[in-house]
Amino acid sequence: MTLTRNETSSLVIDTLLAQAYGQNIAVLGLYCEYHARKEQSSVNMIGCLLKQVVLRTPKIPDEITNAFAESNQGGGQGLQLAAMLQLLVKVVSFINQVYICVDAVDELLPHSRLEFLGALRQIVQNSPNTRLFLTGKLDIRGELDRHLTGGACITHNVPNERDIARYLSHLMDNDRDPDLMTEDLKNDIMKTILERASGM
Amino acid sequence: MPTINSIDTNVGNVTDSYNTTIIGVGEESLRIQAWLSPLEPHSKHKYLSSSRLAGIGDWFLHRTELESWSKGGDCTEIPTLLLYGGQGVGKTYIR
Repeated sequence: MTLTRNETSSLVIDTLLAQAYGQNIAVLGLYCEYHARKEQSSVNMIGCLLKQVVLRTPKIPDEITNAFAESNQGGGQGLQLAAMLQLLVKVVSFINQVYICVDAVDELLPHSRLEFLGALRQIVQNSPNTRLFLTGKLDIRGELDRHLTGGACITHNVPNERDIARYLSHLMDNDRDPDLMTEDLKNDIMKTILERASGM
Repeated sequence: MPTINSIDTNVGNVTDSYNTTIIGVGEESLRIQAWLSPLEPHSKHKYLSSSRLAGIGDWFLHRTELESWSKGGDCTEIPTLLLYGGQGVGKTYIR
């Protein structure tokens, strides 16, 4: 009962966007979802990052336009992962700083996740201007550590009392029957829930 | 703060993914975008952005790890920040 993982990712993205405004900084985001796991293949995920780069530029980089034209000549097939990665690395080199935020990587299909994590590793290795923010369940911590090793900062998403209090206050202020929601009752509810949340 | 910009082009109004400015969009751009990927994460982002209660999560933004990571300071050799949520944390919406 705190800021959800999805919401944390969206908060990070919005905060970075606010900081990046007016600068040559790209903030690229992906939300992995269980129901979309078939569609969220590694190549589609990397392609989606590239798509977001295209969306923020006044002119589509020639590298992309040329690859698209070549693809059309060859029957319009999409790029393979290696080619998509190469294109992304080339295009982000024109940007001062790139933030890639990926929410809920544990929701990807296992083989897609491995490919995708490998692709992210290649991006940060080849593009020193790129920083990654990933969220995931503890279950896949070993997997993430193996792919993105080397001094990565790790933190845990734990319930925050101030968030809980703020949320409860919001709910009680919007109670459908405000006459029954007295200050005493509000205080009682707040005290009980915060005590339980802190394990007392 | 960034704003959402709508651009009138020959193919209609187009807005961007994450509130950055689109300076020009055309039919070819839309075709290229579709060719690159069918994924459209911006709608989920917009929903989440609008569903968050103001002020909730501010504590997270001040975590040293996040500040170091975003500023590119002495955080890491590999500039990656991983946020883990255990079972039951962050899976349920607070609404």
